[in-house]
Amino acid sequence: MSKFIRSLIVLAMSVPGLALAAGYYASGSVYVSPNSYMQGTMNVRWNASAPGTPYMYATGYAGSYVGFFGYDGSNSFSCYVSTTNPIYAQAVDIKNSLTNGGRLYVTKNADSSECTNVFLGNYSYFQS
Amino acid sequence: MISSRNPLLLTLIFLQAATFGLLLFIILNTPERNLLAADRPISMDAIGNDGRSLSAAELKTELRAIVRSEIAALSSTAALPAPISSAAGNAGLSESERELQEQAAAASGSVIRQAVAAGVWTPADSQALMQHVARISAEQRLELVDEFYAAINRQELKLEDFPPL
Repeated sequence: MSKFIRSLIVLAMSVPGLALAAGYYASGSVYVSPNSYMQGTMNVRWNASAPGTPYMYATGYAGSYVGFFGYDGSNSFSCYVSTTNPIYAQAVDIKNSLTNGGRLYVTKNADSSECTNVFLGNYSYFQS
Repeated sequence: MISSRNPLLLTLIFLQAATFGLLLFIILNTPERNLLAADRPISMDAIGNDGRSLSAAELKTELRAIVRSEIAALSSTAALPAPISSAAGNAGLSESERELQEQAAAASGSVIRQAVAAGVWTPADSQALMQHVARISAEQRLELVDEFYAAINRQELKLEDFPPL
């Protein structure tokens, strides 16, 4: 009998669909503090209940700059990291690493469009 | 072996030839043979998007619109100018290249300022900017980016399309 149960367990574990955990999910969101910072999750694109048409994205012009944009349904934010900025290389890496589970946090000074901080965390639990 | 000693075979051959001749006669003497001609009339049922049949005039208009849109799509992608080889700066550019660069920078600035005045960045603005942005220097591009990003941070520009900046 125990052999039979053990076989069932082994069988269940070998089928990926049965081994999938429900887990914790969080809907995507974006918040913009005008001319100061934006923070949010890339999967906001899939949050149909988010007001307005919020988005986040990053661009890169080879050899020129990396740009970060966000809109939370009310306010917009944008800043860029030029090649002379000490954080340029890491900003490129972050731009290239943005995925659905990513939480992005970007800051700038009020008197400039140059980014001052770029943070990215990639998480498993954001709904995509 | 065909010979007069095999009357059955001769009869079969005769019947086959007669059938072939008859078929040829029918084909050449019926109006349907015109369907083989290159200038045959189109006799097809054209259905519009709403499900109703289109008249010949409507079909002609529809076809004209399709051809126009296809040509427009081709010309919009073909119209992108070649980038200036040394777009990183002004050094090493000929007088005419420098002039083109200045014109492209001015045109790009104009697209941005018009969009800011309208308060919205549209797909048409992206397309217009795409025509010039590859021809400007890195310094000129950063100046434009500064202007563009500052307008966004002042909440003066809403994006309806993602700009090539």
